[in-house]
Amino acid sequence: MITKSEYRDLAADVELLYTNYCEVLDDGNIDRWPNFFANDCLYRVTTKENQERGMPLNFVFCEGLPMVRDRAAGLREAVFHRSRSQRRVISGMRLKTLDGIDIGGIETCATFLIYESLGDGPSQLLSCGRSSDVIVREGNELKFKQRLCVIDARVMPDSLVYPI
Amino acid sequence: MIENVKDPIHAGILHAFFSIFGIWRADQETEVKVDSSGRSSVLVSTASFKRAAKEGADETSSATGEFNLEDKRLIAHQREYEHGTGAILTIWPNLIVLQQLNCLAMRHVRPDGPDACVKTWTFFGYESDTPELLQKRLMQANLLGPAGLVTIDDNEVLAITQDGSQGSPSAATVLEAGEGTGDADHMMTESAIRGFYKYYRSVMGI
Repeated sequence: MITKSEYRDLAADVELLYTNYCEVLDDGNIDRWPNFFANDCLYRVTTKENQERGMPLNFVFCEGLPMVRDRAAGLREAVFHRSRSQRRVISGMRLKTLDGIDIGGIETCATFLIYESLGDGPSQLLSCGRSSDVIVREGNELKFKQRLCVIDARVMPDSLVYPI
Repeated sequence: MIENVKDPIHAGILHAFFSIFGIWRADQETEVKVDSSGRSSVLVSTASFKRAAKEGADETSSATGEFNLEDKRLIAHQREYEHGTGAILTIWPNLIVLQQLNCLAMRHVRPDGPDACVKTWTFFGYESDTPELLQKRLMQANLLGPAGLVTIDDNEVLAITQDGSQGSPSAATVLEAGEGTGDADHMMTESAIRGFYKYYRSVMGI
């Protein structure tokens, strides 16, 4: 039986992972994005519509760390895009399971929002939705073994260049 | 956005991902076919999967620091059709049906006022697809759509172009990159765009 203080300790570590993750991406350090993932990770961004209809299609689908690194390198080297500023907000994070941080990982869920500022326009909400993640401990660090981001909207107001 | 997939010239210049990995490039086996009225057209390309030749660079090595894929499954292709590995069929006026490696998709462009449009992407496969082929289609979908490693290029360039043209609503800029409205056995042509507007003018009575 896990106590409230044990939950708080684990939750604080996981919160810090999300905070660091958002900070790295908001600062535009796409090269450091893969550092947050375990070797056998799964990273997916899809829509609520695809999920509800049982469609396996994703906006972004990376299976394993090398593919995450390829996505990061691709965005840097091969994709033309305008310069933009982003702010990620992750809210309401909850640990769904508490056992196994060192073995199979623990499950979390949270709400995400990404605001984007671009050109002469005002900041706009690029995307919001819900994430279902699996987090494991590797050495002293927490890593995403799974990050599944499900976008609420059926229409994106602009390109989804950087990761959620 | 309608012209985008009727303009094969831009693909080799803009889409670095295609160029780098030899998926869609002007120096490969390519073809443009335009129907007699000009309204619909198809662009066909056959991937060589050869990296873009760069002076002094080893084609297969990433030792030069050039972008390479660690996991080649992203573009691992299974040949499905005899005639090309990529085909973009545009159906008058605003639908495209495309094959890009093993990705099969439709892109429907709907105007959303004078300065915007909404693109609806529908990806599909067949019930008879093997699990391996389905996996390839899903993997290669990383190249297309709102987060696509190739299609982001188009969204971004066209957003810049749109901003530019909005600033001068009554001005016209003409950059001719070819002539004629017929077929070609190469990609350095804009005949599909010219054909489109020839037909558009007749339909609209301009």
